[in-house]
Amino acid sequence: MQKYKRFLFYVLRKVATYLFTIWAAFTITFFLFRSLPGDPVSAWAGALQQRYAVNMAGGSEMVEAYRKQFGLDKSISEQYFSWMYNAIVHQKLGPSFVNFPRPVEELLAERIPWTVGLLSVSILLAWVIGLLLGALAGWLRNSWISSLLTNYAVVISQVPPYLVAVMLVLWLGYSWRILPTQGAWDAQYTKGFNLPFILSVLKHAILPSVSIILVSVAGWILSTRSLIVNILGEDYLIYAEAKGLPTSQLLLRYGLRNALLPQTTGLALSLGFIMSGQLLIETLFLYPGLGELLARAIGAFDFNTIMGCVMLSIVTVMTASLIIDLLLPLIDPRVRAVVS
Amino acid sequence: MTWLRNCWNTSLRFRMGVILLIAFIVLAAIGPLIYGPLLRGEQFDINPAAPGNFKRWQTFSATHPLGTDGDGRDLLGAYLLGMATSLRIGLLSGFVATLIGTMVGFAAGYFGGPTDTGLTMLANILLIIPAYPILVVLVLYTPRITPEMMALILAAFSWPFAARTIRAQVLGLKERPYVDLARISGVSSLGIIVTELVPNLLPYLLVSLAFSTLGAMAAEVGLALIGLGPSNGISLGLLIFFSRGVFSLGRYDVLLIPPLILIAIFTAITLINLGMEEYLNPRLQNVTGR
Repeated sequence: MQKYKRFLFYVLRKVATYLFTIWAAFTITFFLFRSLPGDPVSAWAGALQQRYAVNMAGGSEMVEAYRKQFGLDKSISEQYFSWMYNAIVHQKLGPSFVNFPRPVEELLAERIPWTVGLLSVSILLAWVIGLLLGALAGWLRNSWISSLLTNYAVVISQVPPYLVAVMLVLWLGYSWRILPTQGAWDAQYTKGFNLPFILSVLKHAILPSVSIILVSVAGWILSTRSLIVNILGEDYLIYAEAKGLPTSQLLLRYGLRNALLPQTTGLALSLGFIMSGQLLIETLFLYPGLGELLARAIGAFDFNTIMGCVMLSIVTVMTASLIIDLLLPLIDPRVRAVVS
Repeated sequence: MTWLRNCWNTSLRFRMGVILLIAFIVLAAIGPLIYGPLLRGEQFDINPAAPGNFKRWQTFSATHPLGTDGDGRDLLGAYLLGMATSLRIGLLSGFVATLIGTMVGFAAGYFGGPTDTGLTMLANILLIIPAYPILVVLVLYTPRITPEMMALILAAFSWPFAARTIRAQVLGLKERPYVDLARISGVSSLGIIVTELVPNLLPYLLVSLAFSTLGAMAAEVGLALIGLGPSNGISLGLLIFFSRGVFSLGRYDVLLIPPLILIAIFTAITLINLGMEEYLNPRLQNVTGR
């Protein structure tokens, strides 16, 4: 009984931390953005004035009306509480400015599938390839294959993916014109579940996802390699080898099996960061995902959309790490021993 | 500092990385000093990286070894100055982030209790806030931003990584017998941290420094790619940004050299890091197996 009580206490503490962290991160970002000078409506009015030399004196009522619609006429603390109230009670994130008058939650819902589709496939592929290559590099640690893989990984692992993307766009997209470099599908196909559209979507996803995979594979190779190399020194592996088990079994059932737990945690965490999108890659390829929306929102200083994107990312990251925290005691007996 | 010498002796990666990084720093530090006067000739006030000083799109020649770009910059001069700016932003931001991270990490790890809970919570909160939009808005709203200001803004968001690593190491180290001995002998907490803990954690501090430097340089490029950089200077990120429209002209050197310089610097720092990790984790050196 005591054991369950302690486990329940562990769960409650994790959930409380989860809620508190989300609230604190929201509060910090909210006040940081609002403490800066300017707001979307006056920035827009100013730009109009500058560009067309219009006299805004007569339009001040209109500007006021828009400010009211965005809630900008209220004090900052009032805006803070009403944002939280609307988000939690009504699941409403307010009107967007970049796509006025559509509500932010609608824009987010429209873009989530693109970002999730592109990034989850890229992250999963990179993880599987990286794990296998890393295991190979660790196992054959004195061969040329290992040094080739490791050296590639050393050079590429810290390079930001958008640098790779820029180069891929130049070669494959512009110079050789093999693959499309903009958008997520060709406009001539009707959106829906039909073969030409799906093929077009896949073709457009190749360049962005390859640039993400090339870089993140390198990171998984390095980490898996050092995990495997560590395991190679363990007594149980030497014993298993002495027993005469075939190499493939040693590698898969003893080596990879033990590297899997930390790597799965890592995978879950990077899947959690999906919702922050790949802002620069999506902007570069004009991919209609969350990152591209966020970039446009920042350009227009669109509070509501920025807060919507940021909160979506914060909540997903926290949820992923909460799930890991709650599952880990079930999977790993060592963690279970500490918890209960 | 024996561990540094050991690192140097045992790891080929460490040696290669250090030599490469020092070469880049020396090139960035004295390159513009030598190249500037050579380029200027009798005109003394020409900044090679400022636009509009030379004829556009010149190819390789004796006066402009790497040619000029579409805005009339001398490219060799621009690369040297851009390298200097990028390294300055990276190293300064790395130092500041590691310094803050070290102080927070030591305070949290050594004192434990509510101090630890509070600081760890703060670091965790900052880690999950997507930094990029905030960096963009901060850089956008800072008038006349210098490389130093950019470095500080970047450091403000990268210290939690360093703090987390250092805290974990301090937790492991503070239970050691020699720390207990110092405590019983009446050495103050600050004294223990400075004389017993910091020297032993120096390798880990250097690993954090390398990671924060890498992060800051990558973030600078990320900001420059949408046109946000130090306002009156040039950086490798800005050079990549300026070269956007070049591919149709066939000047591939303009497109490729800035990203390749960046990748080379990143590789140098990663090599140093891996070399140190190899040394710190003896299990990576000698294992049974093949």
